[in-house]
Amino acid sequence: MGTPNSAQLLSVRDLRVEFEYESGAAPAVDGVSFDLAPGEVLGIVGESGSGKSVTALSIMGLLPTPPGRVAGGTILFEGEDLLPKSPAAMRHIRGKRISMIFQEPMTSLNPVFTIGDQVMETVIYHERVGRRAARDRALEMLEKVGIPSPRARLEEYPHQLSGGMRQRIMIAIALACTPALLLADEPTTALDVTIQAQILELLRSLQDEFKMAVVLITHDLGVVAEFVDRVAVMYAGRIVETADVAGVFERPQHPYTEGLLASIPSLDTEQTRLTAIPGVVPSPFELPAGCRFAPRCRHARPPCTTIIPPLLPRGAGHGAACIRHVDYRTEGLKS
Amino acid sequence: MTAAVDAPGLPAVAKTGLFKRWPILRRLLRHKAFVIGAVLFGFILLVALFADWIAPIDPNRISIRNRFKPPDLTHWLGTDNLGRSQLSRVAYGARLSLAIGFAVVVLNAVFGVILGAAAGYFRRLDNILMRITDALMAFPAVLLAIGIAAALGPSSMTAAIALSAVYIPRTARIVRASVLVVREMEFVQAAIAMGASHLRILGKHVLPNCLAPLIVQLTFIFAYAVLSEAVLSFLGLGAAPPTPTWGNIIAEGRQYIREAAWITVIPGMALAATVLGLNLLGDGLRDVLDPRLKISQA
Repeated sequence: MGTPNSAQLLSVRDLRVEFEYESGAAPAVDGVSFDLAPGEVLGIVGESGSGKSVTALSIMGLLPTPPGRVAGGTILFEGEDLLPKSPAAMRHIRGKRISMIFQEPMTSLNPVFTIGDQVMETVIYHERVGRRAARDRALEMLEKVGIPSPRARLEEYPHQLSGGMRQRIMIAIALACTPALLLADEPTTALDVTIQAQILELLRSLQDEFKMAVVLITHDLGVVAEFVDRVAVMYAGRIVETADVAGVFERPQHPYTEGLLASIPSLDTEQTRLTAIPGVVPSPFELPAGCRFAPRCRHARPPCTTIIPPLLPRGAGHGAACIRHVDYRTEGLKS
Repeated sequence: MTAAVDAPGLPAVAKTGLFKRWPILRRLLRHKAFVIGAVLFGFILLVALFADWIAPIDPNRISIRNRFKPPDLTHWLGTDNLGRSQLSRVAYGARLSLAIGFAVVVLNAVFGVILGAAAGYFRRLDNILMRITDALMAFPAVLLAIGIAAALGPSSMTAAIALSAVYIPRTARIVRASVLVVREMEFVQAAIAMGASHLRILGKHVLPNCLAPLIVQLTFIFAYAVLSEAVLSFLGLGAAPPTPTWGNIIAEGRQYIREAAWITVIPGMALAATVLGLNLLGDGLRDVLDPRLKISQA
């Protein structure tokens, strides 16, 4: 994972993001690298504070600075590094080539303007078309995201719509300029489970139709299994495992991924207690040396606390950052 | 807030387009204090607008024979120490008071919004702008206005400028506070993610969501400005006599307060009605526009 791959749509190399506070700098993202092909769907999975949202915000150039700061690395998008770009240049990429949808659809729309105004705004801004053309596009987008009676909805205000409908509107706004990349930061977390499924299905079909790449950020492995092609598991600012969906679910190569999978309640077995990984994610101010998962890992051995594990290849397209990945599986059999 | 919920128990007018377009009007009209305030202020406003029609006598026409006439059928509100019609003087005084109050409100709306928005949105400017407003707010309002008006020389124009200088920091604070809240909202973040520029975000997404507290604040500032203008002209720092203002009518009449109390009482009542009306109006607007205080109007 040395040089960025400009053949990819998005190529992130060794991204480091720090948050600087009076008490010192906290690395939120520490050497994250991944590639995304055009039309590919990547899921970034991790607990709160693992750095997944910060990674997405860095790609958008939306890190809150200060205290946030990109401390190093490159983000190559369509062959160009986004990090040195000026704010004005980034504004032309945001919403046009890269769009983002957020977790909270209830508050992501401006309460004082109509739905139509808000969908049209992005189109008018980025494509320099007239209001009439923008309105036609808005109508088309509302139809595409499955809003019933879209013509009437254009005139309505956000408070007149439900959460699921608002998230559909957010998706319509994000896709109105047919971006090449969509960053979806926990797009279904705030929604009812039934609505979640509908939104994911909608995203999937739109992804297919627009042939866009998607980075889906979530802590929900169920969402990942349904939607993505490839998964990157993040823990404490680093990617600990990356593989295609089948690889992660069937042959996890990192104890953390195994722990995450084990914590999903199974329908097949009677369980009285939910399985949990012991301990909590370390604070970014007190990160352990070596493997950051070592303090919570039941397979940890002395070298784990000193050596930073690189992302080692484990089969085709599969990588895991665990130095003990070969022997920890057999360990239980021996003892 | 939907039409269906509010419609019962209201006259047929409630179904007209005006209410459909502005559902808030219906809630304002149900607010007793707002209606009383609107009537009081509306009355003063009508008097000011139609002063030359209501009071055809020149407010400065002296008639020594008719000095100190108490209110009667020819002089509805009596005459003053120079026999000038009190009705004319108070009506024309209303015109000036409201004009100055309105000028202060407009200047506050413009500069208060610019300063407040700049301080709240561009965080680098916040500290310096807010320390300047703190310095201005550290003075008692009337004292500062007296100082500025005295420095600029007495006239109705300087009174308006002095009062604006006094109240703009307060407006800027209110706007800044709202901007600070709104700028952190998700839809602002979403607008940034869609590539909107700072000016666009501020103008289209942040400020329209800060309007409610601003409108309420400006109503109160109107009341304070009218009151403070009376204070300034009472002290001789507003429009110079013989131009009638409520403040200088009271000032001139106060030596005769025992013998001809109507000279001071009538402009005093006009002043009280204006300030009370505007305050009730502002309270009503605040209750209706601020969702956190909804209980109080039940």
